[in-house]
Amino acid sequence: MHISFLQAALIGVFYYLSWSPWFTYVGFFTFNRPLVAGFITGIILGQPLEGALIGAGINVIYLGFISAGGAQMGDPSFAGYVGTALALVSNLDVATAMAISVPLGTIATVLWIAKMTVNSFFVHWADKEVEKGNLRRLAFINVFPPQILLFLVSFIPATLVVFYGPDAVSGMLRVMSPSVLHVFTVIGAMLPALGIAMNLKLIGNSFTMPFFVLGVILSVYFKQDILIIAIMGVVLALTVTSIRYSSRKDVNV
Amino acid sequence: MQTAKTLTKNDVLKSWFRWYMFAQSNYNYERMQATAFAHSMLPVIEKLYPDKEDAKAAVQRHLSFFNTEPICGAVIHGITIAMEEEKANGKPITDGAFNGIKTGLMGPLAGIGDTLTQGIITPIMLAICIGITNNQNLAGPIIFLIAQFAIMTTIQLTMWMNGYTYGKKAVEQILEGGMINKVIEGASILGTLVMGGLVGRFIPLQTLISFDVGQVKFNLQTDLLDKLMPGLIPLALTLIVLSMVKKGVSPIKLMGILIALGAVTGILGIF
Repeated sequence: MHISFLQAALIGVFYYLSWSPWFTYVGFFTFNRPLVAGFITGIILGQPLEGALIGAGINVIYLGFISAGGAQMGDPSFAGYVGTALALVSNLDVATAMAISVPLGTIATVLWIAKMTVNSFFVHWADKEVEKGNLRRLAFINVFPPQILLFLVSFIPATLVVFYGPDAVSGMLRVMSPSVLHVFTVIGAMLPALGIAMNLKLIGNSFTMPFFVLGVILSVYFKQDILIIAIMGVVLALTVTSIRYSSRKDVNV
Repeated sequence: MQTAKTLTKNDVLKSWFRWYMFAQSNYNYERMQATAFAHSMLPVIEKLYPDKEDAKAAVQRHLSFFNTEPICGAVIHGITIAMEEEKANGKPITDGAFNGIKTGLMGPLAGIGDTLTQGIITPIMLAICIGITNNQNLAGPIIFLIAQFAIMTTIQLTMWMNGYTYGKKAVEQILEGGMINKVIEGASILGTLVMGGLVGRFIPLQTLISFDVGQVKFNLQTDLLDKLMPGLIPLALTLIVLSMVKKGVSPIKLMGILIALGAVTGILGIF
C-alpha cells in the first residue's frame, strides 16, 4: 500500500488534535488513546477495522499510562497514530506493530518536554498583559500561542515519519528472516505485561490481587471474553464492597 | 450598603466550559495550569468586579501555581467561584485564603482524580472496548468514545456545580466520607479482575521447550505447566514486572528490559 502526502498530513493533524483542547479535555481520554488513534488512522487509510485492531493491540501496552504532573511513560498517541500508519502500509501483524510502536512513543516524549518548557514563557507574557490591565488578553495567551507551538512540534514530526517511515520499515523487513519476525512476536507478547503492571501498581494491593489471578484463570483456562469478565467483576465488586462495609458498620456500632 | 452581586447559573457554566476546553492548553513546567485557571475565572471576575483594579487583582491571584486532575479537581474551581462571590459582596477574604484553599485541595484531589480517571475508569473502558474490537467489531472504539465523553463530562460538571453550591463542605464530604473509599475499592476489584482478563489475550507466551524422555517427547508447556496452572508464564511475568515497578524501576527502563528479554528468549527458542 502506498501512502499519499495528504493522508500522512491528515494523520499528523489528528495527532495534533489528540493533544489539543479542541476535542475538550476529554480528548485526552479518547482521541489520545491508541484504540481510537488506530481506528481514525484506519479510516484515513481506508482500512478502519485493521486500524482499530492494531490500535487495540498497541493500547494494551499503554493501559497503565498515567500522566501525572507532566511525567509519563512515552506518548501513547504518537505510538497509536504513527505506529498504526506504518503497520498498515507495511502490512505488519499486530505483535510486530506493537514492537515498533513502543520506541516511537518513547522518542516522542521529547516533544512533550519541549512543549511544557516553552509554554513557561507564555505565563510571563500573561503576567505582563494582566499587569497592564488587558485582562481579556489572558484568554488569547492561554489558547493561541501554546496551540501554535503544539501544532508545530506535533504535526510536522508525525507527518514526516508517516510519509517517509514506510520505506525504512519495508527495507528493514526485506532483510529480516522469519526467525527475526518471530522475535518481534515474542517482544510484542511481553510488552503488555508492563502496561498491565503499571496499572496494578495503582489499583493492585494485597486485597485486590487475588482477583487478578482469578481474571487470568477466567481468560486463559475458561477462555471468557473480556466483556463477560467485566460483568462478573461488577457483580463481585458490588458484593464484596457491600459485605465489607456492612460488617465494618456492625463493628463500629 | 451596595446591592448584592450574584452570579447566575449561566455565569458558572460559562466559566466551567473554559476549563472543560482549555485546562491543559498551556500546560507548563513553571506554573502548570495557572493560566488555564485564571482563564476559566475571567467570566466570573468580569461579572463580580466592575472596578478595573479589583478585577486585575482577582486575575492576578489566580495566576499562581496550580496543578490538579482536571476532572475531579473541578470541585476546587466551584469553591473558588463561591468564595469570589462572597468577597465581591464585602466578606474579607484574603488572597492567602484563596491560595490556601486551592493549594490545600489540589494535591489530594489530584491523587483521587488520577486514580479514578486514569487508573480505573479509562483502563476498564479500554479493556472492554479492546475486547469488543478484537471480535472484529468496529463498535469498540465508537462505544469507547461515547462512553468516555459521557462519564468524564458528567463527573467534571457535577464536581464543579457541587463545589459552587456547597463550598468547602462538599470537599470535606468527598475526602472524609467513606463513600469515595468504597467506590475506589469496588472499582479496584473490577479493575484488577479485568487486567487479569487481558493477560490471556495479550500475553500469549508459551514455552517451546521440550525434551525426549526415552521414547516419549516431554513438552514443558502442555505436559507440565498447563497442568499446574494455565497462564502461569504470563502471570509470573506480569508479577515480576509489577514488583520491579514497585521498586521504582522506571517504565522506560522496563521497556528496554522487556524488549531485550523478548529478543534473547525468542532467539534461544524458549518462547
